[in-house]
Amino acid sequence: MSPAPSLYLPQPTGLQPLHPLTKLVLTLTVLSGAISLADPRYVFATYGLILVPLAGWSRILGPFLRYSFRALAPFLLSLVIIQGFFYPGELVIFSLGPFHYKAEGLGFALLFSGRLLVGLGASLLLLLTTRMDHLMQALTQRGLSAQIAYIVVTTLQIIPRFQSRGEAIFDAQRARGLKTEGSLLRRARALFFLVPPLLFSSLMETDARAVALEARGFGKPGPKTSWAVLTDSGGQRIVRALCAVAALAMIGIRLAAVARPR
Amino acid sequence: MIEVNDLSYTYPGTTRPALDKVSLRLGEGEFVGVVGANGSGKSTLCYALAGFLPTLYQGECHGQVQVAGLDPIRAGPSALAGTVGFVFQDPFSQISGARFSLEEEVAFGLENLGLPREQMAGRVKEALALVGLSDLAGRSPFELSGGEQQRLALASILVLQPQILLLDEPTSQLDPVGAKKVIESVDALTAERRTTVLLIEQRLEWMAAHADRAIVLDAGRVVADGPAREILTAPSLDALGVRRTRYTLAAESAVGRRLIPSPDHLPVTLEQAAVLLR
Ligand SMILES: Nc1ncnc2c1ncn2[C@@H]1O[C@H](COP(=O)(O)OP(=O)(O)OP(=O)(O)O)[C@@H](O)[C@H]1O
Ligand SMILES: [Mg+2]
Repeated sequence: MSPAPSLYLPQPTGLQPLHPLTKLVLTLTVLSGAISLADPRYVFATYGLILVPLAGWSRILGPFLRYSFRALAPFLLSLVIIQGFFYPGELVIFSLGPFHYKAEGLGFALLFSGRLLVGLGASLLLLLTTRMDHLMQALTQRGLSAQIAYIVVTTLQIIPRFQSRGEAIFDAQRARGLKTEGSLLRRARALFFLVPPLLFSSLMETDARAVALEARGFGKPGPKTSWAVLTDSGGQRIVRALCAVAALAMIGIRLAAVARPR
Repeated sequence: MIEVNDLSYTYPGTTRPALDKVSLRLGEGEFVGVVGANGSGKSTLCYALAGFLPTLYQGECHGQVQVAGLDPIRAGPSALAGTVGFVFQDPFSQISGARFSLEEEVAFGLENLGLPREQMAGRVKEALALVGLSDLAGRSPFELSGGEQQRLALASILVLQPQILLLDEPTSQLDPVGAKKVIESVDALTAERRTTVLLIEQRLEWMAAHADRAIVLDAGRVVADGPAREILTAPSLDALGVRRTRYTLAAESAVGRRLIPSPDHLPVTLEQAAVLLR
């Protein structure tokens, strides 16, 4: 019933009930896999055989696929076209006048898009199944500074409010006679009048808020406690350790392969 | 509990002091009301007592302040956390922004002060009930009306059980019935805990119902300080931009026309007026 902070979609099963650190480590492991694997087929397999089933298990498959493709489609298209023509290579697939479309370029574009897809997917999986405040709480318990945790959580929370405030200020300026439609110059001028009040009001606000937070003990030295209980388990600890070893191994192998003289 | 000697403060970029040689003392368990026109320095006085000066506003500060044995101007707001609770005028900037439900928001201060988790739930529940927000415990703090935000700000401070409570128009956005209820529960709670309360409130009728003592500020100076009923009925308030209640004005005019005998004190509240007419 409490509205979703950022992208989080609560579910009783799947990844959601796991400890935030487990999900973070999982995400980082998949990410390191994506940058270590040099064959686009393996990279796409990581997406299809690991991330998609995990999303299904967590009952977020719909939004997971929607967000992935919406963000990736423009990249995919432009990469496949541009790299195919301009990446250096020998194996010409077809030619358009003086331009040759090459297999090496296509391969590079696929690998790059695959990595983007996996990177994006792994991050999405984390965001969709994890409350950021809980993740930050877990990291704070492991030594992250409370200030940094606060900034991360509030930034995620503030972005949508910033947008609506922007609109409100835009409306107010328009009511005072500022023209916000029309030529590019006119719109640029409108933006010029929009940005300072937006920045100013958010700065003023954070100032008073920062002091109000201090008055509620934020930043006070000494032990802290937390309202939320993050449940962990021996099994998850083992999974995290294994993931970390796997990630390091993949990166190690990749580095060795790159460093080896041909 | 609170001791202020010759406190003067001037905001940066201004020349006229917002507080001008203010001196006052508040004992344990005292409930004191502060009145004065807009800009008379009421909020600034609270800022000084809560350690918000010079953290929030730099500027020129002279004089001595002691609050619960600490110097708020040197110590800053964080040292006073848990001892002094300040609910200020703008409720929106009192929401942490880092918590996703009212419960968690109210618990935020307790987390920072390291209260054991087992004790949190009870305290949070009690604070939310006190301000009438129990039904919204799971709601997001960003989806509240102005009045609800103000209730939340109050709950977030009350939950800390401070020895000293500074309330700067804490119910200005509440509906009249809600505001009355909230002030009554705050009064009952603070009386039980012997909390020292400084309340800024435009509605003198409510102030008189709860405050033992009242202070009048004018252009940063304390111009009157005494028993609430005496201070809040003084004709001199009219010239200071403070409107006396209709019960006071009605009784005053009745006395002037010799309709009733001159009482020791004019009434401020309806109850006091009723006693007078009996
Ligand atoms: N940030 C600021 N910078 C400069 N001057 C300020 C600032 N805040 C307040 N003042 C000035 O200080 C004086 C006292 O202001 P203060 O806010 O304490 O008044 P107040 O009695 O709380 O008024 P209100 O009833 O409107 O809340 C006013 O003259 C005001 O203009
Ligand atoms: Mg004020």
